[in-house]
Amino acid sequence: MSVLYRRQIPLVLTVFIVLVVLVKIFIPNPMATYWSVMFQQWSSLATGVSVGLGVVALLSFHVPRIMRMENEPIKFQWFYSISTVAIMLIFIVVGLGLGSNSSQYNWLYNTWYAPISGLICFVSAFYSVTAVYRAFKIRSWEGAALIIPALLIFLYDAPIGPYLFPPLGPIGVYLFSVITASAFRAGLLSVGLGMVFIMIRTVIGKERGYMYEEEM
Amino acid sequence: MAVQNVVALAMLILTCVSIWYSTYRVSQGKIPLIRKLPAMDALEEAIALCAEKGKPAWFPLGAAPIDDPQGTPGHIITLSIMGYTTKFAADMGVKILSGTIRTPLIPMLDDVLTEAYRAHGAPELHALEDIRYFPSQMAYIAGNDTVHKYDQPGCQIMLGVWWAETPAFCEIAKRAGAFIIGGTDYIENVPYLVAFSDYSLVFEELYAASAYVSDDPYLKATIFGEDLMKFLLLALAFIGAIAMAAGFTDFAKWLAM
Repeated sequence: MSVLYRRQIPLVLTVFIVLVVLVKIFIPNPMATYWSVMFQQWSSLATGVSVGLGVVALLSFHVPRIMRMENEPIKFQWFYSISTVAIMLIFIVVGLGLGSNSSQYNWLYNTWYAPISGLICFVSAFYSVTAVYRAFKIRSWEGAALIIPALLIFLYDAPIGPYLFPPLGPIGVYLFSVITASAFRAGLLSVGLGMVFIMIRTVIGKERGYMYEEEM
Repeated sequence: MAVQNVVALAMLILTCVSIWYSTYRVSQGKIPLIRKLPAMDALEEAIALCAEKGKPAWFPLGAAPIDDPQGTPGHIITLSIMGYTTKFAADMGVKILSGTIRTPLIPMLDDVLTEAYRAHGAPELHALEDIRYFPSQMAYIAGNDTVHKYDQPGCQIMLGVWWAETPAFCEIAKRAGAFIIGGTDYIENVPYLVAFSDYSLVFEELYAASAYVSDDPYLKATIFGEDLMKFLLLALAFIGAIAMAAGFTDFAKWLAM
């Protein structure tokens, strides 16, 4: 029963849904379109239900810390846990009670969430800079082959670069439209092909990692 | 049916034929060899490092949703590799912490970790609170910082579809001194993971990874089928280049979706 419940039923459902969607794409007909739309609605419903699981996961982390008045891993951890749970409850109550388009919810979002989110987004720009610094170390000939074009692109993108050294214009355009584009397309093609193969492997039941099996 | 759909259907049928042919070869005893993927071999090393230091492993999932065309295969593969990694974690007594911003992935993560730990005799190493839920991408970045500061994982395994959070995740882990294994099929972020990771997978290597770690020869065989299709696509690209140069532009339209 367990094998049927954990593996066979999800696999049969996966295959059935994929086949319906394929029929809808390649042999359009009202029945396939109806079921395809229906499955998309079910997907939205499942996503909605799973938000509850997110709340459970969050509470399972924070509630025990509040109950124990925990000071680990940091001092006053219990207080931070209370604030997290309280903010979540305020958003849930206002969102469900007044609607996510209400002015109160928008005020909460724009006043509390948006500035913090923007701040972290801004900080992550600095992380990108340090990432470039780490990447821009010449350790080998391959590294040099990466860095020299990157520096040329830097100079090409900076307004003063092509002004001081006019050949940077055509060099930059060449690097973007020929070298980068060809590498990008090769990557895109291989990723696309890989995606198709994963989906076929899933449909024929060969790729079952998303429902862990001991003999994998 | 439009010409584009006919071509797409033909390509799908050819893909299925290539898979059938590659699995037929296995039944004839011709098992394909997959070249070494050092990033996959390093998974055991990463977990051993955590065991040595007495620290947990951090295996967050990318921010792409499970119902995204690229997110679905990426998450399927990541969950496969997570199950494989958990084998080592259970044997070495290492706890795996995971995180996501997509709630539909929570039950899947919980299922994979619970079953993998149970199958290898260490069910006590997993609890629901080890799956950290972060409600947004930016909260995920802040949460990653918190995990590295307070849980101090010995390694960070970043596989799947990683979006804008990639540089921040990598930099935070690098500053914390964590061993990083990265791999994404999201082309814009491949350079970040290559630059930061101790071992990395690029592009479709990620999709070959689950076959690489699997003992199933039929699953490995599909990689051979994929290579056959790559040759076909290369031929089409070559013919397309000649056709376009000759002014026959309809060829490109047929192949476009």
